[in-house]
Amino acid sequence: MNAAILTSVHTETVELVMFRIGPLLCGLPISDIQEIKKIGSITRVYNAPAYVRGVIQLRGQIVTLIDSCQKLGMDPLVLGTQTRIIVLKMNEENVGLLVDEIEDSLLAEKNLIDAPPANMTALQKKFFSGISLLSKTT
Amino acid sequence: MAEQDDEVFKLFLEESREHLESIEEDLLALEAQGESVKEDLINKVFRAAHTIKGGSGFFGLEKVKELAHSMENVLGLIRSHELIPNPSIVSSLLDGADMLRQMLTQTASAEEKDISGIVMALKNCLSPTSNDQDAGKVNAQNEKSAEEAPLVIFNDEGVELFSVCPETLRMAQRMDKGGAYVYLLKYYLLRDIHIKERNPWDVIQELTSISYFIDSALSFESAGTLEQSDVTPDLPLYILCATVLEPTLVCDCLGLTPKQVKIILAKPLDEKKPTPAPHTSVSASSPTSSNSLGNPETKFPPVSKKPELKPEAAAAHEAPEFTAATRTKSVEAEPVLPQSEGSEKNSAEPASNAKGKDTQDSTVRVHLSLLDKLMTLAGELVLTRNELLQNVGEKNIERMAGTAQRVDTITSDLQEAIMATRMQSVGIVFSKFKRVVRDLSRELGKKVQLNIEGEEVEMDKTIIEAIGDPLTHLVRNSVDHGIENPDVRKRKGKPEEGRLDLRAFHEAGQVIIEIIDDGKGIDTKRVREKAIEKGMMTAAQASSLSEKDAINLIFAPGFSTAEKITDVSGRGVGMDVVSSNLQAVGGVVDIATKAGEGTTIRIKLPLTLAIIPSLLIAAEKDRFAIPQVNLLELVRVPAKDVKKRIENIGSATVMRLRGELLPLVRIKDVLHVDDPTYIDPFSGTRMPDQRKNIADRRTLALDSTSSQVDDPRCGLERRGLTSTMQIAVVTTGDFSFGIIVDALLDTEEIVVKPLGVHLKHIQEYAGATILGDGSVAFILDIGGICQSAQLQRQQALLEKRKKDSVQAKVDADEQSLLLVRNGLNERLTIPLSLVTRIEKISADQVLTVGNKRAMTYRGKSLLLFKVEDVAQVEPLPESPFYFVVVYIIGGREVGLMVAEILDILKTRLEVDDLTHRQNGILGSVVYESKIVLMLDIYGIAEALAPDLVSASKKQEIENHEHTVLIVEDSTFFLNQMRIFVEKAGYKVLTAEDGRKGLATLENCPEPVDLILTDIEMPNMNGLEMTRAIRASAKFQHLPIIAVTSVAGEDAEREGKAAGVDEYLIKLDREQIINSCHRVLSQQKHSSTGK
Repeated sequence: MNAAILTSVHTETVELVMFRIGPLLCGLPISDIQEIKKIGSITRVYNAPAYVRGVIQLRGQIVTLIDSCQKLGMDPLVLGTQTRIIVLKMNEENVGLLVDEIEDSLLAEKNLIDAPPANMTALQKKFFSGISLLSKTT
Repeated sequence: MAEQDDEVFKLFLEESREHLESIEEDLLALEAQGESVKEDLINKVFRAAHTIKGGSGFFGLEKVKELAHSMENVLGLIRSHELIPNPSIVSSLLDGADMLRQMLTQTASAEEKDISGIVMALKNCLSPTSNDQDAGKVNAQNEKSAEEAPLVIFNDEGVELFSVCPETLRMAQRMDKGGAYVYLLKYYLLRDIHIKERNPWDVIQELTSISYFIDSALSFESAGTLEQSDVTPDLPLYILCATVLEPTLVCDCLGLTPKQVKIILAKPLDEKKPTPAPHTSVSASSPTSSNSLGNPETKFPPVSKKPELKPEAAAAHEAPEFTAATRTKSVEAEPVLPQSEGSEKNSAEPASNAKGKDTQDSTVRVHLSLLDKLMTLAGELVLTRNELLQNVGEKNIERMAGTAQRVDTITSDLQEAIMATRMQSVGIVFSKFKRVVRDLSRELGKKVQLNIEGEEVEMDKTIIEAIGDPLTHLVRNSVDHGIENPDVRKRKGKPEEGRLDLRAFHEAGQVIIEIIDDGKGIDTKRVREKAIEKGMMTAAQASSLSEKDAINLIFAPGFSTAEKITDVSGRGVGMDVVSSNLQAVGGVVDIATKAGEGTTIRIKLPLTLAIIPSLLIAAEKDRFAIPQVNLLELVRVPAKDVKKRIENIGSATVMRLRGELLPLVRIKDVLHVDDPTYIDPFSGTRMPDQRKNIADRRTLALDSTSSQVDDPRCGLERRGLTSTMQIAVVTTGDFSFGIIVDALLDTEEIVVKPLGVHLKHIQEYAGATILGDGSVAFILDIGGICQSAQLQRQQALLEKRKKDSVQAKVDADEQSLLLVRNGLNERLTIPLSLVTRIEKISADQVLTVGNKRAMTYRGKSLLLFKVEDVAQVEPLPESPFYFVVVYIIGGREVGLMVAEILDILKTRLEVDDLTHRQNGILGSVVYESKIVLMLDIYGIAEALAPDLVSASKKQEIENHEHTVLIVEDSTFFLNQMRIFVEKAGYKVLTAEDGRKGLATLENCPEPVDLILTDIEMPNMNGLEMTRAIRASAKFQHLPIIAVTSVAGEDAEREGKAAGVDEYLIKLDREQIINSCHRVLSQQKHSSTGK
């Protein structure tokens, strides 16, 4: 508590949307997320990099779908009833991230976010900007 | 307010830029006209400069104004025919226009530009030291303007407003809307304009409708300061103008009080009188007083020199182009203003901030008629939409169909119209090259004539903008590196003036731009050397490059073969930038060159980017689109023909299409599908596909030729279905190939959607589209597929192989032979070119009269022969029907009876004329490991109906004094020809190839009267020999008849182009002899003592 007083006047929070990629529980700031979709028809893309699962059509735009599991070096994601597409806002275009399941959203305090652990593989480290301690385990 | 100002300023820049665009071309035209300058043209240019001068002053662009002014002076003299626009004057004017353009596009830094050099140059144009002019006249002019000091006009407070050249005043008085009265008008911006709910635009329009505008000034200082609270701060705008109207009328017309109208002059200013002293002040006096040059009595608050409004009484003919709104200056400047300098700076500051950003050209000019069309279409769409909504509401299906169709039509029209708004003509880009070429050629001391074709070809605006720079670079390259110096050209026998052609035209849904020069071409040897020097590749690699690849080396980054880096090109950054810039808009560059003769650069560009018609095809479970511009044709190969038409050459699969070999790829291979499937036609389900080779078929016995059943490849494992192939023949423009697809679907117009960053780099796709049902279809990039499947390499190999085989058998010409069966096991051939027709008859049609056979045929009687009548061959077996090969002898048709027509062979004849030689048989060829006899149909006819043949022989006896040289490499044909030429009564000389032919011609003691030559020969072919003969003075007029097996219009054209008199087919004895007769008799009649 004291520590809390010593730090900033108001603790900054960021709202995270949590989802599962394989065994990992991950989160993304909600400001980066355009929308979350269920799986519809995915068009396969031949000759594309392995982690590109395909493309979907979103209101006239063609959105590339990235298999999050493959991208993190795990086995390809298995499509299931809970699989969702998180459409991310990027600079010029939207990109879709295929994830296993959407969990809750969480208001995380910024100062409770640590850097990713040093023993994470280099590949994975690239994709994580921090680790947040949850107040309760779910 | 600020936006309005910004907008107004933008308008001004827009207008000025337009003026400057055409100014360059016009100046060049002026230069070309020289002494006989056209009135309209010079007026146009003059007005442009005048307009820019006016407007720029208004916005505080003093330097622009000064420059425009000096240009205007020069132009004025040209207009009054006191100056002739020679190249140096025009160059200075062009420099001025360039500087203006620069200043007006980078307005933020406009005022910092150093224009003194150009202004000096322009002043020199006026001075007597410039050449080519009537020095006297110019002197007089100069003295006039030198002597006359400017008139300075002050306001009431004694602050200098204007400094006008008396000549200007005189001119103003003389102009259209001008008049004897010159007034100084004072408008109060708030009182007179804003509060009266008018805007400066209206005011100016009104003003220029009744007067000729000379100058204007805006006074900030007279706006007063905050302390001067007694007087409401207002901004006075002073305008100097000339008009015929009297003072009271002026007041009435313009709504000004008499105090606001001051008379400067009331009658025409005297000519050429040196005015008393410099700085004669002209005052503003009350309307009623006469012209007095007294002291100012004014109540006008202090004034600082400020910008002018745009003038132009003459421009009243055009739409008055104004930049109004001095108001904003008042807003920005604020009444709190320090003295003149400071205020100038301050006002200049905000002004320049407003124009701070580089105003690039992000607008487009659209013809009003097009906008009208858009409006109409929009209206129709609205109505139809309403109808559709109603139909849906009422659930009226029948009517909906009709409405939907209307929506379809209107949408297409709308799409077309909208795309048209973006289309600009290529002429915009081309016209600036006139200047580029002119300047560059002058700079380098070369003479270049520029021809432009196809300026009206239209392309999308973005593309036009993107190609400007690359084209400039290419044009400069051509002038710099391509076209040689005049003396070098003279030495080479070329005209001193080099030719540079710029052409634009449509072809196959694309726009082609060609840059053709007749310079020295690209030396591929040098290019290769350079590549080795720069370490781009080893010597071995460099020498193994094909010509095309060697030329394309120049597109590599860092490449330049220029010996030294000129300012123009040679920095080695040019060509690859050109290439990438063009590729960025979907363009392709291709260079063809001939050393010493010139270079042709071909650029292919897409017409528009977004919506393209395409063919949808199915592959696996997905659909793909092939852009129609890439599509040549669709071919369906039925299952039983697959084995026949589709072959494997090495690792490549090809198909025979109208005689040419077409490389094939499977769509599955293109897409690298690792689990290919197909649809079983019987069950309709998808099954895994086991086939390895394309030509494998999945079924056993669908074709009649039983030989295939034993083929182990189509064994029992492969069962199931027809493998009829659907092939889409596509092209990249240069290179065509076929894609085997699963099924062909519709053609559709699709919207091209760009691919995301993860997919952009995939070669095989050019984009994607969303189909009617919402699914995604990828658009195939044919060029990319070509590259990734390395088809071109394969094709090169194929070509090479073809060529090799041609080289190997040079002396065996390919002939078309008709293969027939006579006896049970005997096959015979007849050269197809001699055959007129083939008929099938029944045995009872053959009538035997005496010992001759005939039949009635087309109302006449046709003589029939059998081979056995003449030659020792198996007799023709009795049969209910026969085939008759009809050919012509002595002008009459005769028929040869055979048992069966087998085939037409295209084969390289290696005729053995010894082994089987006999009457009626010319020789034999080997075909399919069997011996086939070659019939001498003339011999047969001759033997059996000598009277026919002799009819054609009568003429021959007269000809014995002529000598014919037969040049032919194949001994067989040589002999044949010798035989019948000698029979026709000529003396015959022979030679085996072109070189020997020439030698014989030269060295022969008797003169040769006619040459019969083959075309395809080693060492020197017939065409080369012909050209050599035609080039020599002695034998120029010798008649040459080409006798060859290569038929076709192109070949014939080529032959005639080389100088051949006639072009005939081998072994057509009659025709050849007739031609010889004809040509020689012509010669006899026309020659003078040969």
